[in-house]
Amino acid sequence: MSLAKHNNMISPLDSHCMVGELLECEMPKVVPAQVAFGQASRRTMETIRIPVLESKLSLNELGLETINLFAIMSYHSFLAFGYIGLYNLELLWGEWLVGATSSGSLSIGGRTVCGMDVEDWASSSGDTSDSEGYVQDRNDEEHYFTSDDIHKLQFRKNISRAKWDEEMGVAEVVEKKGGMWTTTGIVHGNMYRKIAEGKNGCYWESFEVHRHLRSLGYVVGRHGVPWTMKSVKNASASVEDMSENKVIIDQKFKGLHLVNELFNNMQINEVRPAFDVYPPNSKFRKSSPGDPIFVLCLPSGHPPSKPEIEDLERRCNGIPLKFCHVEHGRVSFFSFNRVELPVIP
Amino acid sequence: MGPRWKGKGSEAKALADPISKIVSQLQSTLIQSDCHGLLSGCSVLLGVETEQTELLNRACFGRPIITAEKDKQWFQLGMEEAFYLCYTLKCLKIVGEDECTKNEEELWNYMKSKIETFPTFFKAYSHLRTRNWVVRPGSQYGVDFVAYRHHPALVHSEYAVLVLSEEDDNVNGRLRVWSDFHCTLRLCGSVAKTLLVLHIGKNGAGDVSPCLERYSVEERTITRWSAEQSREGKTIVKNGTA
Repeated sequence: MSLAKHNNMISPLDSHCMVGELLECEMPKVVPAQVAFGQASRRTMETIRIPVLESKLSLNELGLETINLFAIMSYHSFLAFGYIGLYNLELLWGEWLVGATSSGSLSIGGRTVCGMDVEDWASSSGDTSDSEGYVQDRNDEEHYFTSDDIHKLQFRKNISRAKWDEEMGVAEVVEKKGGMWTTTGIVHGNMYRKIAEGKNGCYWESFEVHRHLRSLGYVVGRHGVPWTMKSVKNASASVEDMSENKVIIDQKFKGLHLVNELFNNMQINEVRPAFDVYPPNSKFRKSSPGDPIFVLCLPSGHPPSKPEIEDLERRCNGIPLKFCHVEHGRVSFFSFNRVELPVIP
Repeated sequence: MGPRWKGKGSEAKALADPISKIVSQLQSTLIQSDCHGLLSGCSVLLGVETEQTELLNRACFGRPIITAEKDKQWFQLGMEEAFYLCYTLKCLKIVGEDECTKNEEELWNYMKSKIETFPTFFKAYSHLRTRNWVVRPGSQYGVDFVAYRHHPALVHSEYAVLVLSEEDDNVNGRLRVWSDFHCTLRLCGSVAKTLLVLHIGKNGAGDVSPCLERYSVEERTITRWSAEQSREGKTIVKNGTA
């Protein structure tokens, strides 16, 4: 990425950046393949202007971010931002609006560069619903992406804003708009925080699963992470991954430390409970979510073994389990239910 | 998936003619006629009279073989079936090539030597048979067994059964990779059967002799869940209740 200095525009190499000024930079852009015209996808450079919003971080951090941004700009790689990006969120990286995602769209400087509507994503990830039994799988054919899918521009009215806090590894929402915040984020006092796992987690597969369920209306929370900080004081059995019970002082940063602890102390097994899933419910309340309809586990590599399944069942205290497998964009869910066959007369 | 009966009246017929009764009739007639089966490869061959023929068919043991012989009907029994009649129902004696009757332990060892998975497979077979399920080979469907609630003429089989044993390091080798998972489930779905896994625990008993009472069986079904179809049935509910 090369940064240019023009009239009224600032290079991030300058240590004094004024909020409200424009940063012009050249960003790589992928022009998708035009299959009908025999054109392969290609990379070009595009000059864009980014408004300076807050002053804080140094070039180093920006440098890292540009690599991610590059990845994002090549259609398939919505990595670090993708998770947040489902929800109309602009991600501010210190002073530079480095990237913004909007329901699968990528906008820079308020202009959509590439993207798709979230409903299109749900259908384009391939048919995942083999009917149980007799009807043949309707979507036997592979789904091919067309340049139309990629070019659909998305203009969203409700754009919320969050500020990336490197130290905490979270994105702090400073402006929230739209109805999605009733079911995402963690309530902490008056501020919502969206947890991003940063470099360790936020794997593409878990993003895909989350997106698949969310786009169908299910309410999905991270397993072991409380919906609200207030309830953590009276920690229920569902917060099982806490290695020690800490008394929570309801102050902004101490609360956040605890939540990060929960992630760090989660056992890195082959398969672990990833999400608590609730039914599609417009009356869902974070303050009293009730029990999830099931806990979703994400095995990696190989299908879960019987001891692994039993261990997870114990940890989830009677709440049904499901396992999902993501491969090549197909999300499949499985249940392993203990049964007892009846004695036939 | 509940039982799918074939045609009207099948369910009633099944109720009127329980498998347990048919099997016990088979048991008595075999004892009375002092039947001997002949061990051959992985099968046991059994020559029987008309009465036994009918009961073997009704109870779904073995498969009739066409021979030139007029006065006897010959059946070919699988190893689990033969061992079940011999060891569990105690109504059949089995003779080896040397024309000597094999005792249970000899038979066990012989069958084990032919098929490595025989101990767990037999435990699974007998687990279902003692509950009066009709158990047939599942090779046609790429599984170990298929289980019916009654005679296959009256009902479709509900379960496609795989037998797994952690302690054997899963010698059966099934469901170890995702592609096998998808493959098996898809096949079961397209033939309208639920995949049933019988996990056999040997609990340290080993398999030197048939100490099957110490084996445990855990039943698990593996089913696919469709997020889309599940959602269609849902109405907006009050928070906290499902």
